[in-house]
Amino acid sequence: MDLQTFQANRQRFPSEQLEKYSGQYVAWSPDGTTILDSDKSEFALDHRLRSQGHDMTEVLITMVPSVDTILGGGIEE
Amino acid sequence: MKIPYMAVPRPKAIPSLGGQRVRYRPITAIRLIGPTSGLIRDGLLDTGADDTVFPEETARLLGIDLDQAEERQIVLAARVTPIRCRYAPVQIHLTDGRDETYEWTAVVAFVSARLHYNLLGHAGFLQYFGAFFDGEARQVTLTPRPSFPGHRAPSTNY
Repeated sequence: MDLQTFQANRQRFPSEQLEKYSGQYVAWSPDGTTILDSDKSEFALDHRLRSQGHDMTEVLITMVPSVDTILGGGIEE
Repeated sequence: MKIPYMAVPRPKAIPSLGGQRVRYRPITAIRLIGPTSGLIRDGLLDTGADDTVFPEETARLLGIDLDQAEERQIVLAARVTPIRCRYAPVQIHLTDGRDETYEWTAVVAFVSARLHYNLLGHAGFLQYFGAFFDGEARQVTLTPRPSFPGHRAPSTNY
């Protein structure tokens, strides 16, 4: 993964589209342009992508916090 | 190593930021390597976190068996009720994607909770770096200190 390209593309991803995934884990394409899939479970998401043949050493999975989240540590109830 | 803050657009104006609609957070991508696999995850550089913390699901994906792991109760986000936390070593790779990559092994915490962000806290992460958080420039500068237990790697990408 080219991290510089990935981060630049990810930052350009439309925020209104990203908000649809609030509270879920999303998997980014290696170039940061698209979201491959999403799930409430990090484990389920990872396994589904592996079963589809994705190289998970090239796919960043991250949580999309709810839009009104104000971080004060990091836990989600 | 310079790490730019991540811009996180918000749909509503943020009162504490004069009405702007973007939050900036010191988030960076890291690679984790465990017994059976490697993963790329985001982490929040968090000077308020005692430990470096990931969800237990991440341990399972890395192939880390937490059954015999040392266990503690920890409090996250200054809440009153502690949650179970188990400790295990993991290899961490950190890169800026351009000039610098660092690799080391750290004992990190795995918690039985979902996290908005993985926490890159003091133990296992920030303890090894000088860290300058430039809020105005929205950039963190990390400088490895003599106690850094790993090495600088030639690769500058994940």
